[in-house]
Amino acid sequence: MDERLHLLGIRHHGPGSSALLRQALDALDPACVLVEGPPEADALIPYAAEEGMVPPVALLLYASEDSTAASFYPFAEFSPEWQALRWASDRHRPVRFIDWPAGVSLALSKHEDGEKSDTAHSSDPLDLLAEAAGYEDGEAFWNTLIEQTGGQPADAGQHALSVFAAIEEAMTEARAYQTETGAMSETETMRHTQREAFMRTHIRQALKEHEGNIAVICGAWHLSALRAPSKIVDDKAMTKDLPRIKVEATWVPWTDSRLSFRSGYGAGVLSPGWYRHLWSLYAASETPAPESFAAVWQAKTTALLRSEGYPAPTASAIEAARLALGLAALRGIQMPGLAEMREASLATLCYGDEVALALIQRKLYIGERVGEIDEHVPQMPLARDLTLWQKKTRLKPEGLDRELRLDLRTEAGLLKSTLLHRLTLIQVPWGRLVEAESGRGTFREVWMLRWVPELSVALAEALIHGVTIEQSAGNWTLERAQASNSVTALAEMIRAALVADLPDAATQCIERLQAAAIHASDITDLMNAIAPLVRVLRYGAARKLPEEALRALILAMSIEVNAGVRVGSHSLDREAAAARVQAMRGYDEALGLFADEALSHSWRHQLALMVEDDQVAAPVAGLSLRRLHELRAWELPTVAAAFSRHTSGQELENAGAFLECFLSGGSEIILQDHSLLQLVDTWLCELREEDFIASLPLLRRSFTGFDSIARRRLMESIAKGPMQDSGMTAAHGTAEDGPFSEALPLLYRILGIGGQS
Amino acid sequence: MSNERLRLSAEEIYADELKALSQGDDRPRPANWRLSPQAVVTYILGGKAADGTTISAKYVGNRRLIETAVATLATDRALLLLGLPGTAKSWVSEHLAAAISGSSQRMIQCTAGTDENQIRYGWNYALLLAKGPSREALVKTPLTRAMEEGTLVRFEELTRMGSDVQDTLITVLSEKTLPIPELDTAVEARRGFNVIATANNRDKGVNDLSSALKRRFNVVVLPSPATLEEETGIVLKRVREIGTNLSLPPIRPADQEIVRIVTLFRELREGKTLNGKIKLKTSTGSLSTAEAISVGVSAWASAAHFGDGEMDAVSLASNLVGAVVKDPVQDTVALQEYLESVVRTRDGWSDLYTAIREVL
Repeated sequence: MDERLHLLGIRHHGPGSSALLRQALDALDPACVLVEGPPEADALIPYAAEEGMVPPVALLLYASEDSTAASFYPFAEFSPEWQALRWASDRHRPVRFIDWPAGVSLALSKHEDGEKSDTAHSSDPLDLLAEAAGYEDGEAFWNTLIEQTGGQPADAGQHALSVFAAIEEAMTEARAYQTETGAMSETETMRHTQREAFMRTHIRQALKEHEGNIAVICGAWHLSALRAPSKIVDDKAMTKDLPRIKVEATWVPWTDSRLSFRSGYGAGVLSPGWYRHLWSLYAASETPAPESFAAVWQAKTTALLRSEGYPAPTASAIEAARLALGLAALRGIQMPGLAEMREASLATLCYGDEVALALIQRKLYIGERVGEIDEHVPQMPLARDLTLWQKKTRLKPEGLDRELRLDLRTEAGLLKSTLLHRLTLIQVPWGRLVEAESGRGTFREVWMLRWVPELSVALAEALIHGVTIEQSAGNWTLERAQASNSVTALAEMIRAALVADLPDAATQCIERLQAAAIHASDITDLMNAIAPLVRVLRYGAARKLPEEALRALILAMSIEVNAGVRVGSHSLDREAAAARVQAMRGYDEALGLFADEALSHSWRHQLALMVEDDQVAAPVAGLSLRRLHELRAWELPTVAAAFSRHTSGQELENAGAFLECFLSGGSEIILQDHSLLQLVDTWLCELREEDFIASLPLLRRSFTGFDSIARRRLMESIAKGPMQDSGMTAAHGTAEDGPFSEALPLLYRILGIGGQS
Repeated sequence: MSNERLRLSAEEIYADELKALSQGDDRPRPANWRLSPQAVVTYILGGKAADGTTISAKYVGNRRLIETAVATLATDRALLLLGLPGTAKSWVSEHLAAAISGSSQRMIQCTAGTDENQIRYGWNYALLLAKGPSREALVKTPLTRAMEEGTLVRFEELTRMGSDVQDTLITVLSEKTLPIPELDTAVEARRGFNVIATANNRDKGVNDLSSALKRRFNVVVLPSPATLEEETGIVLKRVREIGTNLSLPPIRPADQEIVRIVTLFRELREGKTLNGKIKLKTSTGSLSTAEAISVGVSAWASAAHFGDGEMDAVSLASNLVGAVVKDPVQDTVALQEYLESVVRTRDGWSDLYTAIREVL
């Protein structure tokens, strides 16, 4: 097009490419710098120069209406694009983004569902070029290109320019070849042409506006298309009728681990940790000696190994550095590359053990940095609110899993917990609650924290519900509550709202639940809903609670349960009965915590009725009897009578289910009450042989709930010999002992103790 | 030309290659090295010398590992070759010594009975009694000789000797000097001195290296051959070399049979068929490449002497069974299971099935 136009094809995120680019820019001294990137973000460029901006950071572009459509443009400090932005801002030169608008690319990717929202092609074409030149990875190739300057800064600029010219030539060839062979799909080709039309338009504009040189920094693939003669009219026609949506742009923090993936720009980087180390080499005003280059890296490796508990002495780090240099010399390269460093670490620091290296490679090769955004950068309100919260709670976003233990009795702990719970409500799962209310302490929470850049998108999505985290969480919860009629879901929402310190939302959810509970027909659901609510009431004292409303709700629901449970337990099928038994256990425990005497009394009454009622499903009756026994509501003879009524003469299936629920959940009952054991024994002895065999799996299932000591004790008491009625004095004849001893091994197996097999 | 010796050393067999490499080698050599590090790598992995002489490959496998080993020795760090039995550890160490120092003979075979005197130095007691302690009364070991002359010394199966004896090496490796307190002097190592040790990390009854000693070694782990093709290539090549060296009567090429041996070894070693479809019991033996080679050689011998000059299923069978069945109970079960589930149904293997069944 014009002599003033200089196209600099770069390798995205390549430190070597960055170093050459800086030299080239110094030599060209362009009046205006154009960078491959979405023009909607032009207004954000000046912030790149702010002091508080610490890469890796990314431009986030998301559709204002539909926040599920979003794309990121990440920058590391060693990315050529980032260096171009910094170079220009240091010298007060205008910079502009010239790629197609994100509004278009997002709209298009929505159209073509199934294709990824990637705006570029899969692998960096320069890497293919490097591969063809016999280099193992793209960066090694650039390394050589830079070394060729021979360390004479005076020629560096011209050398860099000639490298870029060579790249353009090679890529033009490569692209022509690929077009000929038709390796790209039609849509792909189409997309490229459209993007390039946008780019050309921007370039024309810049040439018109500025007098001096224009530097264009873009992926090497596009070079030939940008250089090719074209007509304004054609480009206009190409870009005119594309769909377009309105987008918002902002800077967001990015992470090392996300840098190593592919997104936004086509090329992800393999090893940000290594690239950063390389960049320290290139960026230094004076090229460091290979010795210190190798030593710094091996020292880092050593420190990481030591933090994992490996001995890794400093002496070995020295040897690792020496070996890396030796390998580089052997392979005829000036600076050890990643492969040399890795092999040297393996042989010296890890004693050839790949496992040790595998443990640290994530931290070493990928890194765990999370970028920071300057406070002057206009952030969307929720992100700003989050930053405030992060300051207030002193929680920093980190890219790797970190465990956080909170003591809710302290103000700081409670504050952190509140923030994390609220974020969970607005689906920004920064923290994962690993453990809460475990053990006796209910003031303790253990979270696993990990910040991933997607959370920035999620935060943007939550914006429609409110402009602060508190507001958004509250509104969103209410919205969900309005839409739900499920008693369990609503109870869970109440709990979630309370732990997130959203009392207003909780109160409204309580109202919703009351309304829903009246219509609820399923007793199991009601029971399941009560348990979490009671727990909050009992243990949630660390937070503000609408206690009265909550108590009233639980009371109302419990009355409902007590009233309906007996009839509701008639003729349940097996699955429903199992669910009911489960719910009853929770409910029963919850009532104990709730400590309302009248309520507990009526519950005991219901339990008794259920044992007496023949139509109640057998498992429910079994559990009821067990609870009555444990609560000492019934005397032993009464329990025994009820037990035998439910077992003897009943169909095996019912009797078995009854027995299972009666026994499971604790061994004491049968160990301590000899008479009960005797009842079981009697029932078993009276079974017909085929029924006995059929009942074996069931017995085994019942006993697996016991721990091994309990099982052993049970065995011992059985092994004493056949059960005797306490009233009977005469022992059974010894004749019976023979067969009984023979049967013992089988019994051991049923109980799952002893025995090798 | 017949040579009476059963086995020639590496530097004798490959004298021509070493000479050609040395003549065309203009790269810098570390002090007292016969070749430059690059030429050593070429010698081990094969290639071309400057004058066009073809250099045969002594080791087939990962180039980077050999480069690491050579670079280790060039930075005067001791080298420890670790690996499963039969992964060519001693083989590589012998060739490294031959290429670097021109001799692979300086070697200490470590056993449970090796004591410090065999590592450091002993005394000529007659002289000691007659003249008192003096340098003349010292009995030198391969280690002291290597230190004085600046050559490589090899320790075979380092972990087989006692840990206390192993630790004799600590000072030698870190200070490059061997004190002789009796004479108030020391053996100072010349440039070019270095140690190559081999040890296998699978056998039972070995004495683990103390971490102090381990720190003084760079460790290179030699892996089992990665693919069937690679392993078959190694076995074929070695079987030919050994057979020719032993002057076994020639037989018709037996490449197909070798592939069968290697396939069987790999499958039993990894506990699954090559296509990964059938899970198998593993045998107690290590079934290394080295053992596959010896099965190949013995099968050759039995085919040549007792068979019809062709390696076939019958000549393979007894050797295979001998190699696989180390534990008469477990391994027989494993082999039988393998026979029934794999060999019987595999195309073209029915002869082997019949032959092995007869042996079992």
